[in-house]
Amino acid sequence: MPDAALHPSEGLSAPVIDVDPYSDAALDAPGAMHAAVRAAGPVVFLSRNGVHAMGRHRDIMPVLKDWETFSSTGGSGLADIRKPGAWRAPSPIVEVDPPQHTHVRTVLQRILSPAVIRQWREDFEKEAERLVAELVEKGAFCGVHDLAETYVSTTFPEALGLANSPERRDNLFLLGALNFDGQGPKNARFEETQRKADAIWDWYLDSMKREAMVPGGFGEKIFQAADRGEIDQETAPLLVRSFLRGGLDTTSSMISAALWYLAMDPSQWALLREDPSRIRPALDEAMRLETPIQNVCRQTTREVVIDGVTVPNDSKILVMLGAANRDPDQWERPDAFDVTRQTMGHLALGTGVHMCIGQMIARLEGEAVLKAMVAQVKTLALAGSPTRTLNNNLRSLKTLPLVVTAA
Amino acid sequence: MPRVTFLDPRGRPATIDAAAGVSLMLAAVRAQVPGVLGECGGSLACATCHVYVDPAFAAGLPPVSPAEDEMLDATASERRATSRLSCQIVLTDALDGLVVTVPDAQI
Ligand code: HEM
Ligand code: FES
Repeated sequence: MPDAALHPSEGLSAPVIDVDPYSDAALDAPGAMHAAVRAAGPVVFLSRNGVHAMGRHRDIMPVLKDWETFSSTGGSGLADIRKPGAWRAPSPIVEVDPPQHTHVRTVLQRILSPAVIRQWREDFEKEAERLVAELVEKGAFCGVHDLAETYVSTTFPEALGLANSPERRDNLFLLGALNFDGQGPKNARFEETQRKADAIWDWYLDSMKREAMVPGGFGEKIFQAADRGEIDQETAPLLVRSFLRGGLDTTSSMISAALWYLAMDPSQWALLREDPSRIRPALDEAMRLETPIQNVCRQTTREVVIDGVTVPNDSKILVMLGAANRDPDQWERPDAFDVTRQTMGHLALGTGVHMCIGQMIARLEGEAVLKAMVAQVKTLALAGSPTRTLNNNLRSLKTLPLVVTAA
Repeated sequence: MPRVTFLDPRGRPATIDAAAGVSLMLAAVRAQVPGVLGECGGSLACATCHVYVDPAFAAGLPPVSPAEDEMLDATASERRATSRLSCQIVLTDALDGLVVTVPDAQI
């Protein structure tokens, strides 16, 4: 890539396009919008939102790896959180660059090490076996509400160590919705979610405090790391907050998407039952197609030329992971669910220094559910059409009517 | 084109021709070598790319960084003196003939 500073007039300016990624139609079925972004150029300018956007896999990959040129400090959403009017404190992990990022990430990585996560395997599997047995008994159930969401809202807060309460489940999903709606424009969808969330604000503020953490969870370990001086005292609750807001909806979206694709294609379900070592690749394939977090944002720290197109300094770029994950230049039969596919390089978990640090937990949860399904279910089919929840940045099913027979 | 031999846990070999400049993990995943998963794509978040490197090649490898060292403490199969995360080893022509053993388990 030519150095923009040395060749200031090298690139063309980004083509301006008039698509709206946040309309109901685009959120429901983003394929056409993604294709328009990919076709228009390596970088486009979205006139409605006033930001640049990218959708081609081969151009996005290097952007996410180059944190020096494409900074995370402008915030994970469309608004530049450093500017007056939009100012807010950055997340101490996802909205900072190295070297601060490296430091916090190292501490957090130790707390979420694969060895620690492996210790939860038995509990997670037991819970999945119990829940799936109950649903197989019923025969027909909702893959989102009864399975994915019930499972994730039981196991994940337990691992975090968030004390249980009757309102815990609903409140956590509301916080997730707010987090991801907040990454889009301040539209009616966001305002509506914000209004609902206002009602639980005290619960939310209390939930990231040390007193809310049950001993043994990784939430407690974050506060202990602060006691040892490894991170600032103020950082600990903000890290807990990022787990409260980002760890539930994402994982349950992955699980319900996997169930949906498997229910649609009996031959894929058969491949999984034949060889359960395909379960983890199946989760990656579901993540690729669904891309629970549709977009991440970066801010340029200098003028830069991307594949012949100039992006000015200090520009927000909407990086469309969902578009890259179905880019026909990268994937053969991009829309097909194939558990035997080589999925390495999908961007549902990001890439580069910020790549999802919770992925081993998400994978363990997903694996436990599908393992229990494969063991206990013979046939899996749709009992009706699924519906979607529309959110500014989180793609997920709302309902998924399933019917199963016991193995 | 460095040639790499992967021994499975029972010692059965699979030899691949890899491209210089890519990581050992990526070369293994692309060639679908069983038992090397590389789930985090090389971002030192998963430890599912663990291998045991034949000691004869130890001197030619890049040193273990502090981050790799910590992640090596979290592998599913036991850590040995020869343990490395294959995503941290970039293949070069000097590593031609490299022999590594895949552990029993990665997750
Ligand atoms: C399938 C489920 C999940 C998906 C699709 C997902 C997706 C992502 C993506 C795309 C990023 C990169 C953000 C960026 O580059 O700006 C990310 C980062 C992150 N995720 Fe996840 N995530 C999932 C599950 C989880 C879980 C379960 C947790 C909590 C345990 C979690 C915690 C985080 C954190 C803390 C970061 C920031 C890491 C950093 O900035 O270094 N995620 N995730
Ligand atoms: S691929 Fe994840 S640590 Fe090497």
